[in-house]
Amino acid sequence: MYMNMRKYTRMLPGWLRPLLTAAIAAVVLLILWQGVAVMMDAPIVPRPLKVFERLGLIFSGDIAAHAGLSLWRIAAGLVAAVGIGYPLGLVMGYVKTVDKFLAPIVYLLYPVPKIALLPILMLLCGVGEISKVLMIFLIIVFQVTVAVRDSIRAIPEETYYVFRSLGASFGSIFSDVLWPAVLPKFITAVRVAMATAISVLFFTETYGTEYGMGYFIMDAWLRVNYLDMYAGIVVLSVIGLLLFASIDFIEKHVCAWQYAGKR
Amino acid sequence: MSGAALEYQHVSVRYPGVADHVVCDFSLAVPAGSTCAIIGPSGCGKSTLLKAAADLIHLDSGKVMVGGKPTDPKSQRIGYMPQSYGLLPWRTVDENIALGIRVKYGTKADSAAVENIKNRLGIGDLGNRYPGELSGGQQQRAALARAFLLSPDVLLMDEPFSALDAITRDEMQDVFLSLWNSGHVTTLLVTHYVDEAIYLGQKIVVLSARGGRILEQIDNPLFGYRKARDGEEFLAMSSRLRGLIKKAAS
Repeated sequence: MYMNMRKYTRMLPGWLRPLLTAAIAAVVLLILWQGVAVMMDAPIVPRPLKVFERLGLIFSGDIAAHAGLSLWRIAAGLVAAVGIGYPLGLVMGYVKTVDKFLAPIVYLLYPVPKIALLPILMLLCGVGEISKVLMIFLIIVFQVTVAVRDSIRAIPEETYYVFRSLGASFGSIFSDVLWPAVLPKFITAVRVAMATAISVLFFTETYGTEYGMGYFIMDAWLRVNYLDMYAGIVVLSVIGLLLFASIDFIEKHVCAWQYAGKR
Repeated sequence: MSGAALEYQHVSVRYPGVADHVVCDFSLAVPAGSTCAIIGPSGCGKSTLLKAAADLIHLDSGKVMVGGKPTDPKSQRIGYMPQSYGLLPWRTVDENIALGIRVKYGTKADSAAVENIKNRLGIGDLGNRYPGELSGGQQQRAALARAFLLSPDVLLMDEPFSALDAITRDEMQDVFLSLWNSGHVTTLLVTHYVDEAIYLGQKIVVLSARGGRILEQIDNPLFGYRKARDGEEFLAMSSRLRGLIKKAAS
């Protein structure tokens, strides 16, 4: 049965295959959800169809704004983390003396659960936007820094020899060696950090704001409006799905050599 | 042949934190348009000599001249082929082959020239593949294509065929010779195979185990003569070299 399915999916164009598997996964989840809802028959687990009806009603007028703001916080944190973590990792990987000074600091801060810093952040930056974006920044920045540094370090010395024997400029070494060598681990780091970032974002959005998916879901819960709450959860998971799918898509395209031969 | 295309003048190299010189007062002249094979026990500083010629390491004293001027990768065309070929995994074979020209001159390599050299090397249909998809021999061909497309002033090859199996190695030695014969690029190669030194080196230099001293320089009459391997001269040369290397190592 499974083999047969693979045979058929292979006939589909490449871009359709992941969509199809995602659709199958979604259907399986919905069936499970429906099953649990029917069995429990309680307002705490509403049926999927009702939730989607509700979602259709409140999405554009209400949830969309919350979702937009959550996305904005993720994007701002991500951009800041990459903007600082990428060059930092690059310098640490390329210049050993810089690494010697900065590595202890990074190692000291990296394992601290960032959520534990939330009270401090709130005291320092207030409960508003800055502390939320800063939280996401802190979660992603270390992963990016360490991944970029390690990828640079893993480049064999001989690769540089070829370039230096050609009299290459740093610009050429950057665009031909450093940038592509770093991409796979860099993207993986963003993907891993993103999962943590979304869950922590949810948590931070339950304080000091009236916008964001975290606020929306917790507020619906307090109002005992389970349909709203579930609609919020659905939107939050779709946001996560879209973020991961876009990272996968980008990775497949910019790291094509990693997939060569496995086509 | 006219003058030395590559000349080591009293070159000494010491690595940081190590008291002894890896290479001490090394002098050697490689005539233009010739090949020279350096052979010696492992750790004798063979690779260091190549790096010195490509200006990749700091010299304690002495200098390396390329075409009569101190070696300078910016103004001279130096083809350096590391042991692991130095292909970029994230660039296709075509991009890797053209890389030398692109990095050196900032211009795109002539695509007809790329096709031409690929076809000569039998990798004409692999242009869109990535190095990771190729066999060792095919990667070696791509690396040779890149080196020869640059038509370097000197070509430096660090144990070029040592990662290949014996049959592929023979094949690649022939491929190298056929490319070399069409342009007579001055070539310095380092090897630990006696057979390879005899087949590819017009001049064979035997190094001592320490300090990179020259034990013997041999003008090799058997260069490029594949059938020589079965002859007595070859056996004599081979056992002479082996004897020298053994002496060097002890």
